[in-house]
Amino acid sequence: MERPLSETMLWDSFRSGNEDAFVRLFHLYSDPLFYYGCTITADRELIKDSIQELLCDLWERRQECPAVQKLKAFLFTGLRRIILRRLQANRRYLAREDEDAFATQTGEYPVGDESIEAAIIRQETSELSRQRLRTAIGNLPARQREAIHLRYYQGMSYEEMARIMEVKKGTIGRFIVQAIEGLRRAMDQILLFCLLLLTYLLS
Amino acid sequence: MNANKYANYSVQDFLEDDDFRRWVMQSQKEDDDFWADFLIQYPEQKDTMASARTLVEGLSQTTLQDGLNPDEKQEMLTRMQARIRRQNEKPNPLRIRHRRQLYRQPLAIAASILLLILAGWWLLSGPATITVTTAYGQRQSITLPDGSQVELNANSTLEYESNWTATEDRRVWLTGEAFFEVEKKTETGQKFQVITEDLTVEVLGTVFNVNSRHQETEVFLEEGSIRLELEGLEEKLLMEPGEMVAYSEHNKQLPAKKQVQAQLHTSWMDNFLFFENAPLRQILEEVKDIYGVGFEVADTSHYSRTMDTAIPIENLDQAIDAIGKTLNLDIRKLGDTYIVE
Repeated sequence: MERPLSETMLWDSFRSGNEDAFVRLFHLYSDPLFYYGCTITADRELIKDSIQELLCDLWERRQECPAVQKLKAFLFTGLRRIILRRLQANRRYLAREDEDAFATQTGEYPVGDESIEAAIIRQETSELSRQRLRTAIGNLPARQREAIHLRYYQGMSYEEMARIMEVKKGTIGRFIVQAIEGLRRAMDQILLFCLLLLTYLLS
Repeated sequence: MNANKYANYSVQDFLEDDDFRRWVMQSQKEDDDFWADFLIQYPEQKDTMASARTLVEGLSQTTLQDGLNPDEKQEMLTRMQARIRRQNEKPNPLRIRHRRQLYRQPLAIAASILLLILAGWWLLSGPATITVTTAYGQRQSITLPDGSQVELNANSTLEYESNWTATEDRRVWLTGEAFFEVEKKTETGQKFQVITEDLTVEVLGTVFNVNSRHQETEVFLEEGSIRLELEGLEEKLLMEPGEMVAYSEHNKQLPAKKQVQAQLHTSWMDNFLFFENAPLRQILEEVKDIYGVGFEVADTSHYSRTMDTAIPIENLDQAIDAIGKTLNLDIRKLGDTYIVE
């Protein structure tokens, strides 16, 4: 088990004030953090700023930082809080009301049926399946999107996810079930549309 | 793994199954066999499994946006490093700010005002000293406030005051070597003085070279006339064009005037040092002065070998090459030192 060991050493080195460790930590986690941030908001700059804030805050308070077992989950928890705080501040600023609190926090993934059509026509077929899955995930409710990403892209356990998303394990299970149901439906619809398009083109 | 277990699995169940996910992600040979067997046994599960497989593959690779590109990462890193360095410089901003408000601030304002007054006074009254220094292998042309021209050779320093009045004598201080072309000031009769550790060259208007390396100062006069005040001697020395004088304040010997070829003493002006019948010891000494490199000569008998050569002063490699070829020596580089064999 080399990875957890070096991760612990890296974190200890970071906490002792080693600037190289800071840079290595950034290179190791900038991608996972960024991709995770994308599930909470579509605002790219906000995610980047939040990652910077997270790492700098940790660095400045490194003496108070605990030794952690699951560094990635620890970082995700911190990033999530920062992003939500920033979104909250933006929302207050924009004074926008919405029934579903999370829907407004998601930032926008505005993909209506028309843009799916446009996207499908523009994309090449190899690119198509990736694109349509991306679209389908983007259309999921925010919490489901987040759960599905943590589970299948970042490979996290229900325990870790529950801690990061600050809900019970059972709730995580429900998010996952609903998300997969939603994805399947969306994928089927898109597949059907492709079939119709193909029939139309061939006729 | 038991195939029966998967007989009634839904897409959801497959997605949650660690063995299934591992097979999709890593595709081990023995796993392939297991799932092929499973499909032969339960062909009705084919569609469900295919959907699950597509989703696992897709989800493990799909991100909602394109990742950070290298430029974005570099920019983030630069910003963060700037922030944490700023932080390092003021380790405890809160406490310092507190003290500053109560006590330090008025003091700081008073200090700033005092500094401003001092700066203003210095700008208006005090003459600024200008210092020009050349590095090894570097030369610089300087125009003095009166229009006189100076060519400062490598590894040399010239100092002078920024504002020269119309009545005072013109003075420059030299360490190293420089060539002067002095503007004549016949109406005001202002003297021009070059001051070295060993002597002062006093002129009205003339072209000459001063070299204050090697614990002595060499003055070569190309045209016009100059007078030397030698440090520690009462007697003053008048020089004629084409004459060369070397003097050191250590031995205080009244120097003899020598007639020399102009080219040998001002040749560095043309980016070459010319040597006539010069021993290797002297040549290496000059190269050392100009480029700041050291030499180790294995066989000391080489030191006294003489040669006629021209050595470039702004290209060390060519200089080394010239010496090696002329004396048929092998010169190798070892760190900052050249080994001569």
